[in-house]
Amino acid sequence: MAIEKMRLLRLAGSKENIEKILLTAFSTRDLHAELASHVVNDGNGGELLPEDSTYADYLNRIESIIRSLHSELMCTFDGVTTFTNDEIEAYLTQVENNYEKINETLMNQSSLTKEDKDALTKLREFNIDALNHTKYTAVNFGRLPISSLSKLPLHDEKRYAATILSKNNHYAWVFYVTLNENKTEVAKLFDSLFYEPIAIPKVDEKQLVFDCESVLGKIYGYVKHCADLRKYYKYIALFDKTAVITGFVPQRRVKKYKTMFGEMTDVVIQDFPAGLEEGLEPPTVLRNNWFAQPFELFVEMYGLPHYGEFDPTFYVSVTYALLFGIMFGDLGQGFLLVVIGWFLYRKSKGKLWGIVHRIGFSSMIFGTLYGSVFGNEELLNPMYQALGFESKPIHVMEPEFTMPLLGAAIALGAILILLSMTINIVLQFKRKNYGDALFSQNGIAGWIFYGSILFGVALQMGLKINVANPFTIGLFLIVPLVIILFRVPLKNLIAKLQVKPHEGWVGYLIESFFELFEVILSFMTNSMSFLRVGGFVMSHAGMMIVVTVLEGMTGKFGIVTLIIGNLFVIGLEGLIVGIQTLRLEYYEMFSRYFEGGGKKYVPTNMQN
Amino acid sequence: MSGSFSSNAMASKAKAMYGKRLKETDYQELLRRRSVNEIAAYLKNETGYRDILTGINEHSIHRGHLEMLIRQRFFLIFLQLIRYGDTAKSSFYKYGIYLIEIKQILVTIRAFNDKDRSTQIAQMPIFAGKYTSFDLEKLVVATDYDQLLEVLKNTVYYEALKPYRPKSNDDFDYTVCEVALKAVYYQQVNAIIEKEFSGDIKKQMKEIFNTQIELDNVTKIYRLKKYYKASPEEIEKVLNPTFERIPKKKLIEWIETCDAETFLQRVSESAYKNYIDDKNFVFIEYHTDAIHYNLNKHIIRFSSNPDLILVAFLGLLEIEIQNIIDIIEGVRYNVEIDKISKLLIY
Repeated sequence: MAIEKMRLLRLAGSKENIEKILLTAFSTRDLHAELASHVVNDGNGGELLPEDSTYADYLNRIESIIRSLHSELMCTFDGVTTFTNDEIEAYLTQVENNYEKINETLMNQSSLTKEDKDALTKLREFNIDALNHTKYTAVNFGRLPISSLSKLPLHDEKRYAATILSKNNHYAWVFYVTLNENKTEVAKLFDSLFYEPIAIPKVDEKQLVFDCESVLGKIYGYVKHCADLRKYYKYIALFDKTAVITGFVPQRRVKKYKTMFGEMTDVVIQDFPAGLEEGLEPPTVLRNNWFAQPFELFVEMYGLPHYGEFDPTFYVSVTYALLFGIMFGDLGQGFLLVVIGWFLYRKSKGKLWGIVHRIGFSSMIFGTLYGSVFGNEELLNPMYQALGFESKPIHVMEPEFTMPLLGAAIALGAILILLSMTINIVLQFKRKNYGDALFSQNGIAGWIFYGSILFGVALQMGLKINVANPFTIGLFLIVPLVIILFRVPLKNLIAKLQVKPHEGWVGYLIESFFELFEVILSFMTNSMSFLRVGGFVMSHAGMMIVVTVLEGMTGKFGIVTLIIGNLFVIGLEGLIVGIQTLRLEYYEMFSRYFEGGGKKYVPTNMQN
Repeated sequence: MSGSFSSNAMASKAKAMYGKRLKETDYQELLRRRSVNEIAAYLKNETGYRDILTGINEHSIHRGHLEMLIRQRFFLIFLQLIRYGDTAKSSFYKYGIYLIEIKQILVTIRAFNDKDRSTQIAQMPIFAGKYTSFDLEKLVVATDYDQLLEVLKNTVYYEALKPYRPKSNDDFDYTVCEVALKAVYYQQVNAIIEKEFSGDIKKQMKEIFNTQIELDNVTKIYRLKKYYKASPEEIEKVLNPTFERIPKKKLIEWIETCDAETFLQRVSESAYKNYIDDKNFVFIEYHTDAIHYNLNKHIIRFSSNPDLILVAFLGLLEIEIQNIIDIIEGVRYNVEIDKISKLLIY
């Protein structure tokens, strides 16, 4: 039930050694690095490392070619081989030139069918480069309709040699060679047979793709490594020739973190208390016990507390489990929640399932008190009788139990509201906000007003003692209300500021009067809001009665009805109760003592 | 009535195929295409020509290949339909083969003096080779009349062509050969009809073929008058003495008294007037084809005889194929859409 202690670390090293410092600093998930722009200011003489997009541009060029080639080139860096920018530029230019040729070839082939391309693959066996550089002969490649193939022998023409590369029902893919001097006549002959020539590619694009890949493979890993490294330059502040990384590390991991720099003698690590530097808010890590830990989810959803402040997770976990258990009390269904929550939490590590697991226990406890097991209200009676009771302690559906149940719900709500106000008072004192601690509706004034009403009502209803008289009303109700009404001037008085509100007395009083009216109203509505706790106790029992009745009506399929009914109630009502409890947490309790607005701890890591 | 189950199937099949003919919207779409490849793509993807064009590369198909495949479809459909026909009438179904054979003989005669026979080879329907009465491939090596007669030995064409054997290659009369071969065709078809059919069907079948002869005569008369300024005697000599809708007396009178245009005017006012469409004059074949088209359409709609339906459907298919070829040629030579459109019969 706390917020993890942090230390502010400043890693300083030689500018020439930046790469090594970065790789070491961000090799583990410990350091929450602060942007250099937050560290550098006019007073400290620091500078930001200039933006360098050279490698990012190289990387874009490489990846764009890889995408265009549909290549599955793996990016690996051996950590040793390096290249100068001129070398990288030369390699890239070579690859881009090759890519242009490949692209041109592929464009020319865009209208070809798969079968044309298959035939082209066979043509490659003749060495495309050689075919493009014949001196005395002319070569041609194309489709000849099958019907024309049988007509080829009808021509008394022997000045060419042809070979069939492939065939289907419609075409034969033919490659023919003739002497340069005969090429016009032979071309005419083939044309008369409806020959459809296909351009022989100027280059063997498959070989070129292979060449491109092998060149890119050399530099890809190195360029990516450099480009990635430069993404972290934003965390480096320069002080003369010293590069400085500033960040927060959890106190318990600082020692181990520092040892990583053991061999780097030129790196100096300065270790400060987390809140030392103004303007650098330490990040918040919630750290809670086994039971409360998953409930951090609800706190984070609302907003993290500032570093060093009160972590409400434990309070949330207890009150949430309590309220859920009351509203969804069933020994059997609670047990199911425990099992399902446990199983899914183990599988997915989702905090919500951890919560389900824990509130399942609460549901089991209240289910035992209600004597309810999967909607069966009688099953636990023998146990209670064995323990010496006449029957189960709480009869949810008995008519005479309804009013006490609702009353208890409001009482529970009132206690939780008072508890939340108490937490707020303590926190405000800790923050030295004495005005808020004493005079606000969630401070001592509000506490006395609300507490007095509750105390009076309790005495009146419980012990039949009437404590309402002009003195008590004046002291415990009117005075606190007046204090709340004048809270701003009173706060000013304590803070030794001008007492008169800046909008003037009349304006202030008009505005405050309506606010006071709202405060009184909200005390009432917030208390009434807890009526839902009692309501859901009855609604749960009611739904289970329906399931039991249906079970009886469906005869031998009763067990199926019981299972489906229970699953339905767990799914539907469990979800609704879960949401309503969260609503009570956020609206009726958090709003009284919790602000949020803390900074999340996000360790900077080269791998993420 | 030749209403066997199988031949009725042929009629149904032919009518179903007729249903898949190119419609006006297809022609409009084809006319909008500005390249042979686009035409090939449309025919392949949107029309009944899909079957014959599947597997071609429409982006780079050779125009000649496309035309050949389209023409080939006529023969494939013919073969497909007669499979459903009455096997007893198999000799009748040969009438389509006669047309192919005659065309190839005439192409050969025209190519005697050509050194380069590649066009002939390219357009030779080798796929029909197993149905023809002589070896088509041997026509390619026939370079004079004697060699041609040698190839045609033992066929009906031999006797028909023998009397016109010229003294030299430069001396032969192509028109006479064409008339003689056409006469053989009509004689053969006539004989088959006489043998295979009777009654009303025979009458209607004869009407179809006689109309073809008559329209051939009309074309001949118009051309001889218009382009050769031939005398009535010369014209009468080359006519086939078959008369169907225009009585002999009337035709002779028109030959003797009319010039080309008046002759055409007379024809359009004759019994053919219901079959001539209202387009302005394009060329004589357009009008005779239009008459054929309308006659065949009438038969397809109203006849129930499978053989009549077959002949009519094939007649219509031939016109459709000619329409597509006209569009392809039009695109090839950049002819305006309006001008191509005028040639189409649908």
